[in-house]
Amino acid sequence: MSDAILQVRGLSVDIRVPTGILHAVSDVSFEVRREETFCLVGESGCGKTMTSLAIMGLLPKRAVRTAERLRLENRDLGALDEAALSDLRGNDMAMIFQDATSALNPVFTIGSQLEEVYLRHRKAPRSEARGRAEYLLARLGINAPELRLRQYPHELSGGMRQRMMIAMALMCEPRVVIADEPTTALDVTVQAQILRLLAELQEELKISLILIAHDLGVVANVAHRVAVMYAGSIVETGSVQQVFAAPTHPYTQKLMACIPKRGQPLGTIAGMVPTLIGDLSGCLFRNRCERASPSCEQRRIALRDADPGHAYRCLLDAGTLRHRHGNAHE
Amino acid sequence: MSEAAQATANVIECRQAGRTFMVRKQALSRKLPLRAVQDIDLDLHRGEVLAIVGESGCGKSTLAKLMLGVLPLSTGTIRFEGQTISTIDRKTLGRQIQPVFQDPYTSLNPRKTLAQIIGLPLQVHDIGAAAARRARVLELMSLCGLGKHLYHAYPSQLSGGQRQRVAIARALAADPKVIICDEPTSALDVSVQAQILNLLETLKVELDLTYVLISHNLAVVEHISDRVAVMYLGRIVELGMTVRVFQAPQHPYTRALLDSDLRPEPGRRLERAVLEGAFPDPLNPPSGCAFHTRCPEARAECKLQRPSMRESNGGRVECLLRGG
Repeated sequence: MSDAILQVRGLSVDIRVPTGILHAVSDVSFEVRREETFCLVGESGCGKTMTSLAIMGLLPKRAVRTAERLRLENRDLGALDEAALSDLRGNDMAMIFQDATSALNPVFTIGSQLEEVYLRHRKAPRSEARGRAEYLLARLGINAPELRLRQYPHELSGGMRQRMMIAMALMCEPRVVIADEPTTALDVTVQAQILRLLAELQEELKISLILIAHDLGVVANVAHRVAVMYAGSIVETGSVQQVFAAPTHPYTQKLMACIPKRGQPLGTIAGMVPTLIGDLSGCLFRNRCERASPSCEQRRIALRDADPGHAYRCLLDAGTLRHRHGNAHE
Repeated sequence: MSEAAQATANVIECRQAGRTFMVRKQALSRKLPLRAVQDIDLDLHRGEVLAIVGESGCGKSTLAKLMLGVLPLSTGTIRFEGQTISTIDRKTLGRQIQPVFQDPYTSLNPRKTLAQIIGLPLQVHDIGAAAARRARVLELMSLCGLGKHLYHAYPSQLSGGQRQRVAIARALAADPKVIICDEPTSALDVSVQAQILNLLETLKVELDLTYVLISHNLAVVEHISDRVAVMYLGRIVELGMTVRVFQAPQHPYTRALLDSDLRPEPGRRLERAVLEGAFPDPLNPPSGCAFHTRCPEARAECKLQRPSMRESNGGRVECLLRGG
């Protein structure tokens, strides 16, 4: 058995919209290894959140999920019914949402919301659930956890609420945690605190973390491996060093050039993300790519290896792509 | 420097500017003073980009509102080209200083077309006849990279980046001298952010503008600004040339802020982020130096004595342990 705890192969999500079928996620494959942090990175609308919701079985009703393989350890997530999924969510696999303010229920205390998760999955007395909550809050650097548990979400700061979201996800010691932009709404100082805590807890509790982010700074500092998404597909994947040191797909290269740096002209990506409604063919980045040729239109392009463990989705070979990229910067 | 020469070098001058709000902690409790901004001494030089950085709640947006003249001062003065802004007519000031806000989804009226949105300042200030206004709106649209075909479009038909272009075009309509950008790109993706930053830079040169940029994104600040003011709990704690502040931060808070900034270079930089604890309660600010509760270098005197602004390494810093 491989090192993978979560295997996703050929995952697609199609959503019915008034004008047709929107292909939100197309043929996404990746695996998450034990105790690693795997980052899905991309801009708004690239399908990273839909991918995570598809794994959790939390897609909106209008969405249809298809997958060749969707396995958590030895369980086939595709074959589970809603009741089984509900047993699994929060227990084996948990999610940390972006906006803690709207994810927490304003009319219940923090304590009752944390305990609810535990009591849903374990036959245990409330005191045990409270003990677990207090332990986690203390571990997350919160003073006087027993007081905090009696408070309501509005009484806490943004950073504190985000810690509650993390505690809630960790209540039942899940093996896999999906964190969807967990620090986007926070200040840089609080963001750094939260990410550091998350990294420490991940190591301590041996969690595999899927982090969804658009901030390349966050990704570079926490990820072990990265998948860059564009228009519903993974266009490049590899270790964080491989992807940041040798970005190979033209989109990844351009995205990196968009990050402001002192004294360097800021790169931009011309054009807009294509519509994902209707039949999609060829490389979806071709209308914004300077290296596009007629052959980019003809068929879907498969991921191919640039280096061991580093794959990209482009017809040109890695050497050519990187060479030109290097020149463009000089 | 003579007074007149100084007046032309500085577009805006803040002297001991402050704003206090009276707020209740709970319903029916006594109102307490919240010093959102205090003792601000800040000059905006003509043609520069001055960035204001700090965590949420540090008073950067209040300071922007004071400069725009939309909030009255509680203490001190702010002068625009030598004239106290409280004595300048609201409409006159509005032609000179214009804001661009953070969220282009809420700052544009969804029921107006671009022509109406961008043309409104022209109408308010009674600039030109109908035909001239139309030409001016189209000129502004092309300046901001909006195609002519969008003239009758509504904001809902536009992407986030396009909406922010509309907000910029509207700000430019009455030909202002100063643009105050409050987090102009924080709602946008990086590739769109890059387009907007490039647009702001081009417009600045073409139209001879001066910018105040309020941002919590340090990479953006480092890229675009000439000088930077770091705020903490309503005070400017460090001010200096951006290059200098980023290379050699003086104030412990500035250093902590820069250490918390995650750069897109692989490496476990998280360990360097030292700042613990949370922002103090502004209704009950710490004694002495407001930062002493979180400062890794704090000493006993920091708790007792409030530091004053001192010259240090070519800039100004408000810390007992630096400068002087």
